[in-house]
Amino acid sequence: MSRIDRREFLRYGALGASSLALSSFPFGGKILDFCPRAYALELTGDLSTEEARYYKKLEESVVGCELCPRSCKVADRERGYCGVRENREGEYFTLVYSRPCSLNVDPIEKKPFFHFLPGTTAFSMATAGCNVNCKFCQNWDISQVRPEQTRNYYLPPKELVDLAVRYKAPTIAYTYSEPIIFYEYMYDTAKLGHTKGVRSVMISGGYIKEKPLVDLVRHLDAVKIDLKAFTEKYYKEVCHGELKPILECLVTLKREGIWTEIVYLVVPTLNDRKNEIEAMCAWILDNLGPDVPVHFTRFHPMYLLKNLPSTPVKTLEMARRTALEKGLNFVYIGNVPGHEGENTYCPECGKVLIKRTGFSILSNDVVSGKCKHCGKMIPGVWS
Amino acid sequence: MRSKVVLVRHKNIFDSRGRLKRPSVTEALDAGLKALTGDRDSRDSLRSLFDASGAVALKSNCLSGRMLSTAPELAFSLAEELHVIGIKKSNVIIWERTERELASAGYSLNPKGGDFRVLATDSRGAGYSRSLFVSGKVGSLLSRIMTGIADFAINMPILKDHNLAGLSGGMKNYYGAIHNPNKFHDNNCDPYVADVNALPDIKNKNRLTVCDCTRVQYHGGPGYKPHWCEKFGGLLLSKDPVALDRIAYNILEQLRRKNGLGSLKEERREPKYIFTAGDDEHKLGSCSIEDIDFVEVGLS
Repeated sequence: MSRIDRREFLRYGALGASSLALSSFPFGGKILDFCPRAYALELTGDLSTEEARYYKKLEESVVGCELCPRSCKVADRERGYCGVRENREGEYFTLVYSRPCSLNVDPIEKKPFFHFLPGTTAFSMATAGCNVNCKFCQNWDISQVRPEQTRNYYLPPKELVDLAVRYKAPTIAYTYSEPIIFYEYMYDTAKLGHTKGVRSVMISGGYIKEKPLVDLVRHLDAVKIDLKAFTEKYYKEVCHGELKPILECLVTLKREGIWTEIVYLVVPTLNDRKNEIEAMCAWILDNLGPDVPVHFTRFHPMYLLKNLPSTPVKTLEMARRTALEKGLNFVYIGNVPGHEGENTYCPECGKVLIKRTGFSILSNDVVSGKCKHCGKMIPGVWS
Repeated sequence: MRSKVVLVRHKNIFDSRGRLKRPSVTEALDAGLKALTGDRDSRDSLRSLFDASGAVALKSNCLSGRMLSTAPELAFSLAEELHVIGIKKSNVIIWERTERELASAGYSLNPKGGDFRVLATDSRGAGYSRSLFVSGKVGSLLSRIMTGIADFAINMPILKDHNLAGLSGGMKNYYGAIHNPNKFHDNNCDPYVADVNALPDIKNKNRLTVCDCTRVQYHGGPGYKPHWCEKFGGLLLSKDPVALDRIAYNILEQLRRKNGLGSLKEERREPKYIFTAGDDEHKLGSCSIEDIDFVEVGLS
C-alpha cells in the first residue's frame, strides 16, 4: 500500500498552469482575474443533460457507446469508463456539456504545438473525465474524477468562443484531460468558432473511433496526439488502453489532411528502449511521412508512478537522435527548457529556424511558411 | 478458520401492499445476529463486534431507487440496535455516495446529527480524501466518511445482478466508497473489487455485512427491473465479506435457474472477483463453500 499526497499534485498543477491559471481548483472565486479585462463566470453545481452522440440503444435499457474503442456497454443508472456519460432509462447523456472545470490562456507551445501559429496563445479548457487511466497522468485530479468532484463553470459554446475573442486568443485548445470525452461540447464550440474566426486544436490520446473522428476534424485546425508507447503491453498495463486504435487514429488524421504533431512521453524503464523508439519512428515514416513533428518529452514522477526517476536528458537525446537517423525531419525534446532540441531546424540547410526556450519564442526565421535562409517549405500552419 | 454465513428468511416481512414491516425486519435482524455470533441476545452480538465509544458507518446501496435499495426499515433497525448497546446516535452514520441517491431510496438527510446521521460523500463537510490510496490495480481517493469519520463499518448492500460484475453484493458495494468506480468494471470487475476491499480503511474497519435480500434482482441489474425482481424476504449476515458474497452468488444462481435463465458463467459474467478476494494474495475471507458454515433461519 502507498499513499500519494494530492496537495503535491495540485501544487504541480498550479505551477504547470503558470501565472495564467483561471482555476481548475476550488479557489472559490468566480472571476477570471489573470488579466486586466476581468470577466465574471458562473460556477454551477448542475451537470448537463445534453444527449450524447454516437451511441446505440440495446436491450434492457442498456446503451452501447460508440465514441471510443472501449465500446462501453452501460446499464441504466451507470456510467461509461470515462465517468462523464450516463445512461438514464436507456438514453445516454453527456454530463459535461458546457461544464469546463479548467480554463487558462496558455502559449500554444505548451500544448505542445511547434508548427502551429508559434508565439500565439490558446484559450485552453477541459472538463472532468478521461477514457484511459495513465499511471503517469499529470492532471489526474481532473481527468480521473467525475464531474461532481470538480468545480465546474457554466460556459456554453458561444460564451467560450466569445471568451477566446475577448482574450485575443486566436485558438481554442481542448486539452488537460481528454477532449474526446467531452466530444459534443468540443464539436459545437469548434464549429461555432470557425464562424467567428477562432480556430480549434485538440490535445488528445487519440482513443476514438473513426466515424466521430472524421466528423470532428472537419471543424478542427490541428491535433496533437500522445503516442504513449509502441507496444500493446505498455498501453494495457500503464494506460488501461490499446495501441492499435491510436495508430489507426493517426492514419485517419493523415488521410484527412489535418495538421498533426505527436508527443512521446519517455518513461524510464517502461518505454525508453532504443529498439522500441526505432520501430515507432519507422512506422511514422512509413505511415505519416517524415514531416510530422515528434516531441520526446521528459517524464516526472506523478500520480501512480512515483517510484520512477525523471527521464535522464541523455535518454531523450538518444530518442531524438534515433528519430533523426530514421529520417524524421522535425524531432524535439520537451520539458527540458533551454535544450537545443527545443529548436526547429531547417531540414535542408540545417540552420535554426525557430529558437525556443521553454514556451518562449526567441527568434523565428520561418517566413511565409519557408526557411528564411534557403527557401525550403516548412510544413505547418504559420498564419 | 471457518467462516459463517446466516440467511434469515421471514415469510411475513411484507404487508399486503408489498411494503416492508419494520417489526418483522427487526425480528429477522435480531435472529440473524444471534445465529451469527451464537449469543442469546442480539445486543450481545453487536457488543462483541463494536466498541460503544466509536463511530459506526453503515454503507447503504441506493443506486436504484426506492424499490431496489437498502431498505430504510433495515438500516434504522440496525441503527437502533447499535444505539441500544451504547453508541451515541450521532455516531451511527447511514451513508451513500450522493445525497440524491439517499433521497431517492427514501432516506431523509440528517448530516449534522442530533439523531442518527444520514449523509453522503457529497454532503458538505464530507468529500473524498486528499491522499490517493493504492491497492493492487486500484488507485483511488476514499470517502472521508470511511477515512476520517468512521471507526468501524457495517456494509449494508442489496443483492442484485450486475451486467458487468455479474453479482453486486457486499464487496462490490464498496465501489461506492471510491471516487472513480467507473475505472474498475473491466474483466467483470476482477481483481478490482478485491483490491478495493483490501484498502486498509475498508478491510480493517468493516466488521459486519448485513445484505438486504428482501428483494433480489436476479437479472437485468443493476437497475430495478420489476419483472426480474423477486420478493425473497431475506437477510444475509456474515463477518466474512468473501463468504457472504460466495453464498450470495449461489442464491443468485438458484433464482436464475428457477426463472429459466442461464448461469452467470454461461453469460460470461461470473463474479471472479469473489475468488480473487479469497486468494493467497488478498486473504479477505473464505471463497470455498467447504470452508463456510451456512446457517438458514426461517421465521414466520
